[in-house]
Amino acid sequence: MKRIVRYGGRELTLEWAVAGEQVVAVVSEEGAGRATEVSVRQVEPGVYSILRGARSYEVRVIERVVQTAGRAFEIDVIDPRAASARRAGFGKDGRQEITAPMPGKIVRVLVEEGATVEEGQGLVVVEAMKMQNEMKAPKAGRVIALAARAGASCTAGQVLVTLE
Amino acid sequence: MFRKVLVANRGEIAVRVIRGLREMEIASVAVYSDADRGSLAVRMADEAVYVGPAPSTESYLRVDRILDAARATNAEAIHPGYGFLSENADFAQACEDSGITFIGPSADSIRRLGSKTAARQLARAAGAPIVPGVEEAVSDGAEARRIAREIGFPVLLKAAAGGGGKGMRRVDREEDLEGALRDASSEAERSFKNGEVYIEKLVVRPRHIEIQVLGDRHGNLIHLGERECSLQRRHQKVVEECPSPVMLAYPELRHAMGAAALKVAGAAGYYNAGTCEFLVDEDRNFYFLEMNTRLQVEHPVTELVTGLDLVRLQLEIAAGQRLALRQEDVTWRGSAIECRIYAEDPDRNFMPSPGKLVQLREPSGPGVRLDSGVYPGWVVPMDYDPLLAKLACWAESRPAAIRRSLRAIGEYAIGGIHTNLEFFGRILADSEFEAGRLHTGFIDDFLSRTAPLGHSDDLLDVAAIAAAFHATQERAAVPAVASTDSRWRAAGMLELLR
Repeated sequence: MKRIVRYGGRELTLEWAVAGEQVVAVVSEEGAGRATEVSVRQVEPGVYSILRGARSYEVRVIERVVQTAGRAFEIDVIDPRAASARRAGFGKDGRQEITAPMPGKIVRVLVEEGATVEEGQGLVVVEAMKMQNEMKAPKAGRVIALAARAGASCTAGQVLVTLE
Repeated sequence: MFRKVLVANRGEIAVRVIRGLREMEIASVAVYSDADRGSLAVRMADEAVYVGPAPSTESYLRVDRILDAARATNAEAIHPGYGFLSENADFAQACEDSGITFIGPSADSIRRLGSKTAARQLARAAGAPIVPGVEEAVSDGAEARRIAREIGFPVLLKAAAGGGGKGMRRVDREEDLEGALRDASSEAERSFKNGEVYIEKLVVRPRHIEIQVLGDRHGNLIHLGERECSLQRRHQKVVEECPSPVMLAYPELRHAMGAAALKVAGAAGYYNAGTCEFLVDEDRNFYFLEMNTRLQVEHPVTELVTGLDLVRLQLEIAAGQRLALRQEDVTWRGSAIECRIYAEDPDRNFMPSPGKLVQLREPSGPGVRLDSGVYPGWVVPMDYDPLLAKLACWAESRPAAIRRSLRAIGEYAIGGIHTNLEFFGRILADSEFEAGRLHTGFIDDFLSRTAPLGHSDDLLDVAAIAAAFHATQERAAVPAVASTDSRWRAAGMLELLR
C-alpha cells in the first residue's frame, strides 16, 4: 500500500506491507527514507494499539485528527492516484474569503460593502457557545462581497466577507 | 427532607446534583431543551421534563416553564446549579411564592449581593476590604475620566450586573477610556440587559482567591477555606486548587480572608452555600470583589480537601436543618487541583469546538474525580457554555496532586471535537505553576513565553501509520462509508459477524 500523508507543511510518502498484525512501513520525506516495523491492532473503533519494539502507543483516529501521547496531529491521507486533484483549493490571487470558523450566530457586521479595510480591522463578530470572536481582515483591501447579516446563523466554513 | 427535587440546569452540574440526590434517596427531575434530549443528565434522572427550544432564553432561563415542570412532577424543591437562573432573585422569589423551596440563599440576599456595586457597598459597611473605586455606575465619559484620574490608571471597567468577563475592559490610558466605556456598556447591555458599568483600580498581577461559605437558616455561618482560581483565560477560570499555594506559605491568610467573607455573608443575612471572591496582591493584601450566591463550578476541590459534600449540605440547609458542623470542625487535608475541560481549540485561539464527541476514554484510579456531562456519541451543542467536564485530582501534597493530574490527563482522551486537554498537560508541567507563582495573567504570560509542544519524527511516523492504516482499513472493510455514524454501525456489524 502507498499513501501520501500531509501534516502541517510537511508531505510524507508512506509505503507499507501487512503480515497479520505486523506492519512494515517505509516513511520517506524529501527523498530520504526511514523504515519502521510496528505491530498494529485496532482495539476499539478508530483506536489503535501500536507497538514499536516494546514501546506502546495508543492512537486515536477520527477523520483528520490523530491523537497519541497527549498530542493531536491533523493529518490528511491521500491516495497518490488522486493526489493531483486534491492539491487545488489555494490561491485565487488577490481575493480573500473570510469564512466562519465555527457554527454560530453573526452578532455584528462592522463593515459595509465597498468599504476599504486595513489589515487587522474587525469585519464581523460571530458568537458561539457564549463566546464572541471577531473576524479580522488578514490584509488590507476592499470589501467586494458581504454575505454576513447581523442576527443570522452561520455554519462552519460559510463565506462571510470577500476582500480584494 | 425532600422526597423529590428538580434540577434547573444542564451539563455536568446537573449530573453532579442528580448524583447527590440519588445518594440521599431523593427522586430527581431533570429539565431539558431540544438540544439536550439525549443528555447524560436526562439519562440519569428519575424524571425529565421538556422546557423549550435550544436557546437558553427559551428554555433554561424561562422561570414559568421551570416552575411548571416542578409543579407537574410534584417536586418540592429546585436546585438551580450555577449560571442560568441560579443568581436570579426573581426566580428564587417565584419559587418561594409557589411553595417550592429554592435551594440557595433568600431572594433578598441574592438581591443585596447581585449587583457588584451593591455588594461592594455592603462589604465596605461590613468592614471587609474592597478595591479602590466607585460603587455607583458611571454615567458618562467625563465622570469616568474624573474618577479614573482620582484612583489612577490602570483602571478596570466592569458591568454592574456582570460576570464571566462580559462587559469588562482594562484601560491603561486616559485617551482609551471613552471607547472602552462604550464597548463595555454595550456588551453589558447585550449580556445582562443592564448597561451599567463601574470603575475600579486595577490590581496588578493579582491572585484570584475565593472563600467558600456555608450558613444555615438559623444564623450559623462558617467558611470552608479558599480556592485559588488565578488561572483564567478571557476571565473564565481554567484551573482551580485548594489550598492556594500562598496559603501553604502563609496559613494565617486563610483565617483573615475567611473572617472577611463571613462579615460580608453575615451582613447579607446569607444562608446556604456561597462564595466570596477576592483579589490578593503580591503583598498579600486582599480585596473583596463580589459574592457568588450559588454553588461554584469549582466546588469539588473544596469537597476533596475538606471531605464534605457541598450538595448534600445545601439540601440539608434548604430543608431547614441546622449545621452540625462548627468552624473548628473544618479541616483541610492534602491538595486538590481541578482542570476545566472545555470544547475549544487551543491551536486556534481557544475557539469553541462544538460537535459530536466520537471517542471517549475517561481517567480513573487513585485520587481521581471526574465530573462529566458527556458520553461517546453525545453532540456538544453550540448553544451553551463549552464546559464538558471537570477533572479534579487529590493527593497528600501539592506536588503529588500535580503529578496525579498529569497522569490522569494522560489517560484522558476525547475524540471528535477539540478540547483543551493537551493544554493542561503543558500548564501543569510548567515550572512557574509548580512553584505556585500564580496570578490572573498567568495563562497569557504562559502562552507568550512557551511554544506548543514539539514532537519527534518517531511520534509523527506512528501517527501517520495509524492514519494511513485507518484510511485504508476503512475503505477495505466498509465500502462507501459516508459518515462517522455509518462507520460506527459498520464496526459494530463486523464485531457481530466475527
